[in-house]
Amino acid sequence: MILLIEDSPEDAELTIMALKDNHLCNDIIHLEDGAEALDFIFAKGKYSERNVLDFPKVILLDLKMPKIGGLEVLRQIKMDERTKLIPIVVMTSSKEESDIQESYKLGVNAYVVKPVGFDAFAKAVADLGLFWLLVNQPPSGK
Amino acid sequence: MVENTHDIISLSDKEGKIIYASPSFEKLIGYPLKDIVGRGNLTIMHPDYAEDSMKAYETLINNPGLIIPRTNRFRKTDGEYIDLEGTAVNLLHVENVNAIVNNYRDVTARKAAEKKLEQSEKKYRHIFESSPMPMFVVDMTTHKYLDVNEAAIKHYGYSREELLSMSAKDLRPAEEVQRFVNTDFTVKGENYNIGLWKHKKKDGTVIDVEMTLNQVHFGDKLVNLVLANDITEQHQAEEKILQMNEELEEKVQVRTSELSGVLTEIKDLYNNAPCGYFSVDSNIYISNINQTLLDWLGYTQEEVIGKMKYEDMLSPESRENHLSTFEVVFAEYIEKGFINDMEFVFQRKDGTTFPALVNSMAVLNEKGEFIQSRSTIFDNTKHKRAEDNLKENNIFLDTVIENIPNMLFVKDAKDLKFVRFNKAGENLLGYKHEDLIGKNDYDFFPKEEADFFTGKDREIINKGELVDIKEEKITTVSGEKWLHTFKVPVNNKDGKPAYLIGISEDITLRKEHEEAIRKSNELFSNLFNYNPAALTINREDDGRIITCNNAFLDLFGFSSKEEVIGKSSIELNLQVEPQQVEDNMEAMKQNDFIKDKEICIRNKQGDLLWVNTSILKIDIDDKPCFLSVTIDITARKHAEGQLKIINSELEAFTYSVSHDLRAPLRSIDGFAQVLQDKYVDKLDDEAKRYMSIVMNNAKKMAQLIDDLLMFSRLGKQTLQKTMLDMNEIVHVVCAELIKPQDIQKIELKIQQLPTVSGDRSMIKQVFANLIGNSIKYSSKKEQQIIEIGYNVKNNETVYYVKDNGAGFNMEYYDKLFGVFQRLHSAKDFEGTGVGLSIVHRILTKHGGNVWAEGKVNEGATFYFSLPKEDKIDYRSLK
Repeated sequence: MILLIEDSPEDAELTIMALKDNHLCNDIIHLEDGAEALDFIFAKGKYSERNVLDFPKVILLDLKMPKIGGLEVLRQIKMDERTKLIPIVVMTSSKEESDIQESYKLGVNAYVVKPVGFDAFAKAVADLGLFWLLVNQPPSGK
Repeated sequence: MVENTHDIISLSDKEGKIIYASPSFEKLIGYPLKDIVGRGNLTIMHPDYAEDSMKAYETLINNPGLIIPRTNRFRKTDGEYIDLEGTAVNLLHVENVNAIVNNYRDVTARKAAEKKLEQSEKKYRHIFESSPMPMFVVDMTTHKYLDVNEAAIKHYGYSREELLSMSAKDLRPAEEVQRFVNTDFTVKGENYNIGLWKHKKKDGTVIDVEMTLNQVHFGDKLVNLVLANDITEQHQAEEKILQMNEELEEKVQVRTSELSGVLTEIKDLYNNAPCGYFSVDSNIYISNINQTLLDWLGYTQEEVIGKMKYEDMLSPESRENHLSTFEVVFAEYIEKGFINDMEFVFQRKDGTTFPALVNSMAVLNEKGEFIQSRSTIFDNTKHKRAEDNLKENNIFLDTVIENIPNMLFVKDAKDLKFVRFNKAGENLLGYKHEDLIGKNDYDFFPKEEADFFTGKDREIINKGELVDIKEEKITTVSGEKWLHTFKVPVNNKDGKPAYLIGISEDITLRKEHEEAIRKSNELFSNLFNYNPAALTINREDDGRIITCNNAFLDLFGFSSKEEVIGKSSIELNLQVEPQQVEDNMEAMKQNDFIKDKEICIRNKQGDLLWVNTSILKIDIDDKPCFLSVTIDITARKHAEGQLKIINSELEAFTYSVSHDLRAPLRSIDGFAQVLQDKYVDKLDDEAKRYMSIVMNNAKKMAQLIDDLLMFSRLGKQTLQKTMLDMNEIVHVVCAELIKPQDIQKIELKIQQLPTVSGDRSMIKQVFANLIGNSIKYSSKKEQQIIEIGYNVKNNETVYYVKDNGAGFNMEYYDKLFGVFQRLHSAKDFEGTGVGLSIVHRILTKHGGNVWAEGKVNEGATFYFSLPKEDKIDYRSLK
């Protein structure tokens, strides 16, 4: 399962499209804001039925989102013992040094600046998906 | 018992009326019992005793059983009084008595005796106390003073208490103590005189005292009354008379011996005079000679008198000369009666000679015949030697005068013409010695100066005193000079002015220095007073302001200097943080100066000001002080605050640009791409072309946004300076920029570049933009030549990037480095117009420069320079 947290529906569609084109889209869950994402991950609110320990293989996280921003989502996931091992990739338009610094401080696994050109964007998404789903060996005993 | 006693016993009731009296009452007082019973005690009592008696009675009445002692006096029937002593007891409460019982004894006789004694003592004391002569009452066995009178106290300087604690021995000076101990002071007769004694007063002076003793009763003791008559002054007067007599006698004796000594003296004078005396008789034999001349010649009297002739005392030469002219000279001598100052050379017994002057009186008898001479002889050796000395002295003085560094001249007092001029004077005035002598001031100096000089000269000659002319101007051959001159008048033997000596020091240089210092001080004072910066001078020790300028008063809102002078900034309440003052003092100790410190302080009205302060340690009148320069930077600080707000707004803006503007671009490009990919069969060629235009522009806009962001970020980015290997940077940049397919087409000429200090990522961006431009603008040439090198100009390294590309028209040079300014159309060469602006910004930030040369179609060269490490503008680092 890939969890995509992205408020822009266009970016989300392009991302999903790129993953699909590379056959990495078996199970993509797209959530549109940070609050919902946290509910999902920690099985709260409308996701209370969910098992917390049923982790996504990777979370693709946008930073600039309404309600709860990406950095806060990142912080909460990485602070929690149960969820801190979930690989998180920040995908954002922001090249701001402060955002990059803060993300790494909070323990992000990768930081990707979304290229404007679709070709490059699609390739970046595909590479990411491949790496985290197929190449990366998650820690055992999840 | 009551009936038979001598004591008077009476009983009174509680009203004080007598109810019983013993028979002795009648016997002693005279009243029969029947007369007295029923009378009050008071009716027969002396009025002086009434009050006391009533009091005693009251006390008794209130205290049953009380016994109190009583004295009383009753009037007897014969009119006399009887003195009584006894007791009274209250037995009113005792059955069978029920009365106050008085028991008196007759003490009239004793009282009368006491009174007599008292009066006698009073009389004695009066005499004792009022005697002008010191008197002492002395215990004969202990020698202790038992009493002393006022005169003794006054005379000896001790207080009564002190004297009464002393013994007679204590009053003796040490040398008389033994005599005191050995003396028997037993009085033998009235006014027994025990002679002269010495006494010592409290202040230490010793006096002569004539002592008289009398034996008197003192209380029940037999004691000595000592009268001490101070005869010191009398003694002294006597001694003085004695002394005067002695002196008189001495004087008489002296006078006598004086008179008798005159003869001896004359003899002494003759023998021991500083000149030789001799006489010759009619045969020219020496008949008399004094000791001085004998000493000079080395003969004894016996050898000379009557044995030697005058000429025998002369040297052979002198003798010959004398004898050859003797007759003529002698005749003249007899005729005139004397000769004066004739020179002879005398010969001593040992053969040595000395020059001498001879004066002689001829003594003739009544017949006019020569009897004897009376001659004096002066040794002329010293005089001769003095002449020689004088010559030597003159040479010495000449050498001094000629060689002293100050001008020295001598003028004749009459006509003020120069008679002497030394070398230093010649050098100073520029005239030769020969040209000066015999001339006066008017021959050399302008009239005005000459008037001044001669005026002074006349004044000095008239006053006859040295004059110190501190400053005088003088025109010399080599220009105007300043002199410090002493002028001294020199008088001749008769006290008339003869010469005027002048000694002048050339103080031109000193004057110039003084003038320079004065100007410098004036400059400082003008700079200080009219400086737009607020200036103060404070004392180092307590920080108190010595002076300040108007700008200081204006800045801090004071109306006058008096308000601030003598106070420290803390006392004036200008300091917001007193710690700052301590920090400054500490810094001043380390460095002697503080530069451009920005601090917040208060003005008089309490408003806060931001100021830039520099403090320098200076000495004023040899006292360490601080010169503070304070500039108001409140406005700038305010602007900086504003700038911070603007910067943070800009930051928010660029953040938003980087994120929000790029997101829609990505959608535009992305979905256009999707259209092209997935609907390729449904779009015709024209539609595909439109789609590619959309995508192309989206990418261009993204590039534009990226460039702009970089440009704006440069503004706030801080420099991370390191020493840069420029070669490495250039090679990395070239490798990144040159696509593999273009390697053949581009000829790179890269020199070995020197290192420089700078921010690596920024300088890399500079090369990236310049080399990128070169590649871009030369891309239309068949063979692109790109040269990267450096040259050194004016000690500054200039790097350059040169290409053979499209170049540019120098007419549009101003637009070259402006943001969004392009000299080529997008059709010819793509670009955002930001690249060179970034280059310009980076170099400005480094304190460096960038400039360019270009020619259309021939190529362009871009130069840039970076400052050496030591020239870095540190402000850009803050």
